[in-house]
Amino acid sequence: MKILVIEDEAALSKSIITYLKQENYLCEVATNFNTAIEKVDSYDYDCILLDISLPDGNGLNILKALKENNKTDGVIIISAKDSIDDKITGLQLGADDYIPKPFHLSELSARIAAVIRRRRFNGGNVLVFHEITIDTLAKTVTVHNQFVDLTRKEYDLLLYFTINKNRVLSKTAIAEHLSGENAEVYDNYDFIYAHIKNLKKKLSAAQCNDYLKSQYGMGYKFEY
Amino acid sequence: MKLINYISRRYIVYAILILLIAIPVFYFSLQYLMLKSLDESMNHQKVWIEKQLRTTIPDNFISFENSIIVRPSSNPKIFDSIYNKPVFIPDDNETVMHRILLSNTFVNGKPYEIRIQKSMIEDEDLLNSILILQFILVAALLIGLMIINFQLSKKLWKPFNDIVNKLNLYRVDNDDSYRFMPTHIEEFNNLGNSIKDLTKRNQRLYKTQKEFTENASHELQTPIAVMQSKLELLMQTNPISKDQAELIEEIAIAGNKMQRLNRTLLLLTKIENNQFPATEKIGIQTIIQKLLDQYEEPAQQKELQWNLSLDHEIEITANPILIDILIGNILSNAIRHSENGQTLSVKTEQRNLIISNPAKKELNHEELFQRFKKQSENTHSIGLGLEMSKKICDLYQYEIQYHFTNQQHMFSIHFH
Repeated sequence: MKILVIEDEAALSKSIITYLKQENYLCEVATNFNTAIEKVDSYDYDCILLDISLPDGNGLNILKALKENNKTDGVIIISAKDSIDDKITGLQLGADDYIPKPFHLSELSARIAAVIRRRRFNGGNVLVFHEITIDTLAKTVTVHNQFVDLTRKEYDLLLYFTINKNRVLSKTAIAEHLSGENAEVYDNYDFIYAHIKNLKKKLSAAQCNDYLKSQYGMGYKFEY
Repeated sequence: MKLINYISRRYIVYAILILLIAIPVFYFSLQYLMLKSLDESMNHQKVWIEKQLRTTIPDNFISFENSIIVRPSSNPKIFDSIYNKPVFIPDDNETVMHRILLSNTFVNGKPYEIRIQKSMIEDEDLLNSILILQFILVAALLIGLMIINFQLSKKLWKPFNDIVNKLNLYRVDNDDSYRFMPTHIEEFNNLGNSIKDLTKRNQRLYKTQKEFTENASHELQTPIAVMQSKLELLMQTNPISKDQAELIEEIAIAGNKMQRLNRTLLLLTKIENNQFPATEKIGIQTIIQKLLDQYEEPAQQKELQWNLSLDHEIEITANPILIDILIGNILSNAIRHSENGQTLSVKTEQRNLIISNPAKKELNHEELFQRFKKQSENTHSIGLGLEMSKKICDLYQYEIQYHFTNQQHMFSIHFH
């Protein structure tokens, strides 16, 4: 799967690429508007990560160019501006998602996976991890072909872990993924323990291996 | 005290003082002058009478109203005497103060006494009339001066009051430059010009500072993003010891806080810059219901109870994002600072929204809505939430207030 990272901050695009490469994505970088336009014109990508504020142009124009050429590449806007207007304009212009800087790489990866899933119509909405099968369309989980009844949060959590398998996910990243902007309402991120505990309980009740490991205090890892 | 009163009070005190001294001095000197002229005229008469007595018989000497009496004297005095004495006037049937001159003279070798008496009533009357007149004059002068002073000052101070009124409305974040009432008074002109310069300088400084905050926050976003992404990659490296994991965890927490701080500062700057111009009609109940749904989980986690009375619909026209933030901050504060099993209440009445939660001690009213004045010891909190709520209220001229009653924190917002 090919991903184009349009981002002028080299250190950040390097981080993104390092993280995504391990997920077997094929990554390319464009550090300015002109290169980005050239690449977008010449190739098709499964997903484009688009920074709006580029040194030589507005990223939103790349989005416009894509739509004018009837390209169907998935687009996720990454913006330092965190401005609602940019978000709205971007989504109106046909971007699939918007993620403000700074973000967790695991969150970005989850969003990319979601965009790609939505773009592939045949069978793309089923995720398999050993005995676990997640149907992202029906939002159901089966283990050994047996349905596991998960709450919304537990389902989100499992999907998030599966997409970022073999990665350490920090508690902050998990908390923010689960609660979105509400993460600040919590005194601490202890609430994620409860969800993780319940998820583990339900999975093991379904004869699922225990893939979910705590990495000291740092975070959790879904590994095999 | 008003300047005009301050000055007038001194004028009045001085005028009264002068009057108190001047009236007796005037009275006595006038009286002295009158007596002197009276005595002089009596002396003239005496000389005239003595001359007359050389040609006529003293016994035939008769004067008008018995004002001059010449009669033989038994014990002649050498010196004349002048004194005041009340004399009964039978015609008027009253006793009147008289000036009396007694003198001795010899007519044909016989001693005679000359007594000249003059009523002082005319002089007293004159004196009194003069005094009253003088008093009226002074009073008229004083009152006139006061009126002119007050009238003039009212007019004179108009430009000054105009400056003060405009300064009262002064907001450093308002770009309008001042236009003061034109005046011929140099001092006020100078004052107006100085204030114009001062406010212009202030506005420029404020703008620079605001731009700095904005730019700083903006520019910080990228390095924070880089740092956070590197940290996430660092987490993935293998092997990681327990010590390293702890360090990474602490950096991650600090980084996250930095990120939230920065994001909130940016948002604050945007609110201050009025970058949320789009408004629409919003029902407060709808917003609260939405927020309660959003916060359902944290509230459930603490087993909080809700005491809702949202029957009174409040409709406002504002930016929905800002209203979300405004009410969300207060609601989430209430949730965060409550203990397990407590009851929070959300109430709407008339144009007020009241959110309260049980608490042990009162918060500091003065610092409550200020930047970084954290009232809680919670390290998770960044101390900007209430300031943001206040800023949003300021923007829409809502009133946000905090009370501590019955062991409850109570935040009320009055929507105009």
